[in-house]
Amino acid sequence: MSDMSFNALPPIDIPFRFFVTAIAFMMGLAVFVFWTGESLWLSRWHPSMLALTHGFTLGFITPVMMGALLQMLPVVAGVGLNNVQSIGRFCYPVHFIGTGLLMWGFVAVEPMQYSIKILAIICLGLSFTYYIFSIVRAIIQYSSQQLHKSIVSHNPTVMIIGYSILALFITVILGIIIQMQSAGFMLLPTIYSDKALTNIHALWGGIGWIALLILAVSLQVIPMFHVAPSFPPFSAKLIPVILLLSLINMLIFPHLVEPALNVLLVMFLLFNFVLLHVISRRKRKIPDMSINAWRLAAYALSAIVVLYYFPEHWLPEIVIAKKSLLLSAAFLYFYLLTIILGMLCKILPFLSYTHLQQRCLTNFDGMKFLPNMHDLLNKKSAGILFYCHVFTGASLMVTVINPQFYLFFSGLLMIEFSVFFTIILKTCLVYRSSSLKIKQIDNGVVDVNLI
Amino acid sequence: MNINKSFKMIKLDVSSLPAPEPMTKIIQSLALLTKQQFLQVHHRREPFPLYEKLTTAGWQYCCQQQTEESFIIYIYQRPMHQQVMSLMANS
Repeated sequence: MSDMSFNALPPIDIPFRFFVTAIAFMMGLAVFVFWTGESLWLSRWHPSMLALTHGFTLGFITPVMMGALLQMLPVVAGVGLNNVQSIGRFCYPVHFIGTGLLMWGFVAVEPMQYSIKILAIICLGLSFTYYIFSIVRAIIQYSSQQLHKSIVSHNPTVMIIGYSILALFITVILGIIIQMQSAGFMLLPTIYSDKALTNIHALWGGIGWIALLILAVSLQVIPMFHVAPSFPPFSAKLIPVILLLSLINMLIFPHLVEPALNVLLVMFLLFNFVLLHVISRRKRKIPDMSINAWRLAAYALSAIVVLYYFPEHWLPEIVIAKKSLLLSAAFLYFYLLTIILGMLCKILPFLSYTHLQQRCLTNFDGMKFLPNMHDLLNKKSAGILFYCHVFTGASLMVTVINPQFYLFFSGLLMIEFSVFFTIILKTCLVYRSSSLKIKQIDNGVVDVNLI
Repeated sequence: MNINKSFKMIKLDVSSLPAPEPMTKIIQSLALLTKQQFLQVHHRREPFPLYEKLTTAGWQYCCQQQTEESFIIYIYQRPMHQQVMSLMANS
């Protein structure tokens, strides 16, 4: 109803600053890979590898999802964050500073290492606390609106966003505990060995926070952008609950990580089959980078599961030695990153267009200056980005097996994210130019009858 | 379809359009409405981002959820409020 209060979409520059900096961070990571050399690839426990993994997850994936969530909640649930400016002013810089410090802390020498890590934990802890608190408040606001309207059935996307925020909270806590334990403060019983705790931290972060959030977003994005049918209720409601319960199970019973991981993999595989089925039933079957990305990610996940269960005696020795690193790298690059790139290629032009379009409601003449969606992000550039991503991912797999190829991966990573940086820069410029023209009409500077 | 002698409903179905086309069609239709017309939009989801700007621009709106994937949104000027309410009550 008209009298119900909804928060406006947040200013476009807030999510965009998360996106742009995350892309620039990846260019920095390419330099890091170049600088650290072959030793980085020796093991997943190598300090430089830990720095690189946190660079990928905290420097790119997490800020992109943090930025996207600021826009997702108003679009799917009609609730926004009234402190979004503070998130932009506080969480955004403090998060990136904390991530940089954490990476430095991993590779720094012993006496200095602890001070840097403590600073990193303070920055990331404060930033995440403020962000999580803000999102939880918006979800509570949504729930009370639903109660006000006497709606019992909640939007599954909002519920899953809630689960993923819980997972983010637990991931952060586990991360802090791991760092404190490495500094000699034993906080948990001995059953939580360093390696078990690190694995649980990685699974809560990779599957609980990121993959669950991606699942939530896909429920909205695929039907919305591709005119596909909605996901069946079991995949939208039941699978996320099972995923969350499996994660909780491995947190309480760390010796049962393996069976819980089996459940997680089977559930994700099931969701991917549903996703491929939903995509195949879309009404608009036009070539699209985003669809290619969803498909690639689904096939990659299937391949990851096959490799995970593949009898080891049939695998070459070098693959057996690097299996866990190979699986983690494939999951990170070919599953999570592929979906995020595909999603961003839809979200960037959509957000820009929606923000411009909304302003035309108060002045219809402004519609003359609305750019075409393809002007904001053209299909050819998106296609180039997709192929760059495939080649970079392939070079990552080769580098994991044979670290001599690290220069190859570093170069391709730099190319991929330079292409992406150019794309987002162009989107920003087209947005700005159209925005200025609409503003001139609003101010009466331009007479539309003369155009 | 006439609600009374003066007001006329314009129907718009955007349920099979990909984002952001529904919003484009809605704005285009609003731009063409006369003072005697109001809009009935058939949408697949509730267009939350549209709502606040509609209010800012002086429009009134009402949303009726038919099924999980079917929403009817009425967008109108204040004088038509009673007519739209009675239309919703009868539908």
